Amino acid sequence: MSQKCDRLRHPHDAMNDTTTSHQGRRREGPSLLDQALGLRDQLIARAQKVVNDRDDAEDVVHEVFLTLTKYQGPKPRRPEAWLMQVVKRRSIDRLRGRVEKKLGANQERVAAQTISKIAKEELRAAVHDLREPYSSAVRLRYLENCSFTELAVVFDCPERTVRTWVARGLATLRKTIGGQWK
Amino acid sequence: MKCPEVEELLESWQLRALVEDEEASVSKHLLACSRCRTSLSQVQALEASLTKVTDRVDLKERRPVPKPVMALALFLIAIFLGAYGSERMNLKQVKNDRVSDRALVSALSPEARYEFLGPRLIRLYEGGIGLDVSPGREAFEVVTDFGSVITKNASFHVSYEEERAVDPKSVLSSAGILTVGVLVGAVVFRGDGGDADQIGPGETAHVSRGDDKDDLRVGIVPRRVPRGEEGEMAFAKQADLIKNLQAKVKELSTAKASQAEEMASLRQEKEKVEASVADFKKRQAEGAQLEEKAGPRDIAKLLDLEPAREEALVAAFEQLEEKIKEQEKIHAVVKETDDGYQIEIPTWEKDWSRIQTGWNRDLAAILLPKEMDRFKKESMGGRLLKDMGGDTNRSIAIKPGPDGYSREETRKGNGMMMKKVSNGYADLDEAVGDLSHLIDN
Repeated sequence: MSQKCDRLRHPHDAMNDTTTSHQGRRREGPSLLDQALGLRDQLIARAQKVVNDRDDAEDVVHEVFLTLTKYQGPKPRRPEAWLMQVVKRRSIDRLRGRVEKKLGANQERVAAQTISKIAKEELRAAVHDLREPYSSAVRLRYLENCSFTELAVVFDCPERTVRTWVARGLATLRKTIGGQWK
Repeated sequence: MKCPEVEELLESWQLRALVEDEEASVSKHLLACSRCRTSLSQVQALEASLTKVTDRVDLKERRPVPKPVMALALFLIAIFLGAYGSERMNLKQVKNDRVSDRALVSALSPEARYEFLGPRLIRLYEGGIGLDVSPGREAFEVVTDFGSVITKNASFHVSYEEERAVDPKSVLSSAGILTVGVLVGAVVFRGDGGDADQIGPGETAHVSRGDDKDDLRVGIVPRRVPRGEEGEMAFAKQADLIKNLQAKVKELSTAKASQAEEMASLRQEKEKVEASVADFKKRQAEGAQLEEKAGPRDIAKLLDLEPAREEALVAAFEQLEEKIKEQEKIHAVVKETDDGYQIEIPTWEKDWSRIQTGWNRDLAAILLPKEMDRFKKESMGGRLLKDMGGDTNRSIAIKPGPDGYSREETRKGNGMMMKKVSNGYADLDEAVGDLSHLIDN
């Protein structure tokens, strides 16, 4: 059973797991790090495809190597595909980081303006007017500060579905009250 | 990816609800497009705004309520309790204030009797008191005859009226009643029996003794004043969780029941199989005993033969068996089946042969009719014997020849042997009858 769970875990999550015992590891064959080093060029190419920058790609792969030195989780069944996926995930995270960096202070300014301009009651009413299940999802997420995992339990559906509901709710809200801060 | 498309996906990108390839494409676009980045900042701002919509009271950060406000609040509670609570409450005025460890205690009625048992522990004997408790090292507790009211940080009111006789001349008495009303924060009422109930802001609970002396009933008065929508949402969330868990429990119970049924049916099947195995073993043992008693079986009975001829044939086979044993050429006789002896007649030449197969699949004996001249010019040969003899190790075939002699062919494994044995027969029966003679020669 635990083996199955490990297989289903996201590579990104699995890689961040340094608590798994050594007993779960398959000891046969070369280590993950050795395999990753052997695939260095392919991994960099993969990262470069996402981040569009050779230096960034090398940094991403280097970070992955560093993480692999501490990695104690179970060895994946298909190490090559797993490594590629990890690199892809890390590359996307790096891209997101670059976007966030660019947003910078501008975001704060808009946020402050928004909060001051839009009355809380209006926002509350707008949330209330959303269609279900978007309304409940948005309320639980922001007004009740529930995590997506909790929402998935409450709605009894996959986490990604709940994320999509909240995203659609936000999109509708933005269209509804967006004119007030433009 | 173009701006309108990215615009549609911004919320999903922000909440990581996109698939990886889409997420990468949107990220690349956002890096390049300042307009879409502005839209994204609006999304993030909207998220920030939403998190600040809630007016949730953070008990840890709540400042102590100022005294005048507290007094006003307690007065309002008194009015509220007077209107909706017990008629017995007599909340006239604030009698005095006493400050304990980060807590302000005010008597709400002249007959209020209470004492400090510790810096954050009060024993309430009778009457009503108002309290404004700020966070301290430990929880603040009000002990009454019915149980304790415990809080870390709340403004609330506790009123206790003990049981007393309605009339001095009567045995009837009014039931004791404890009333707890919360203005801000939350308290927990814990009965002597260990039961606990949380009382939130705007709620008032009445605790009375039931039929049994140890039975305390906590009842929230119908008028509840939830603090806005988020209070309901918290309640709904818990309700949903409970509902969800109950559904899961039900589902598991159903699965467990179906598995139990399956197990029961499997157990029955296992018992049946065990019974049949036991029966088979028993019958096998019985059969073995019978076989042992019966001794060696008699030689087969050929079909459609006169008894005398059958005997002759049987004798011939017996001799043949002996001869085989002696000469290591042929042994065994006809195959025995439930219906007697197996005589196979190949369908492809049904009118010319009979084949007798030895019981141990070692010998097949084939007799050919005289009028059957299909094989005049050819040997009966290995093919014939193989076909006719099937998978037996050895075969013997007798064919009346055109020259007045009959031929006998034998096969041992793949080796063939033919010899002229006697004159031909008038018919098959004659050949059968004379089989022993032929074999002997």
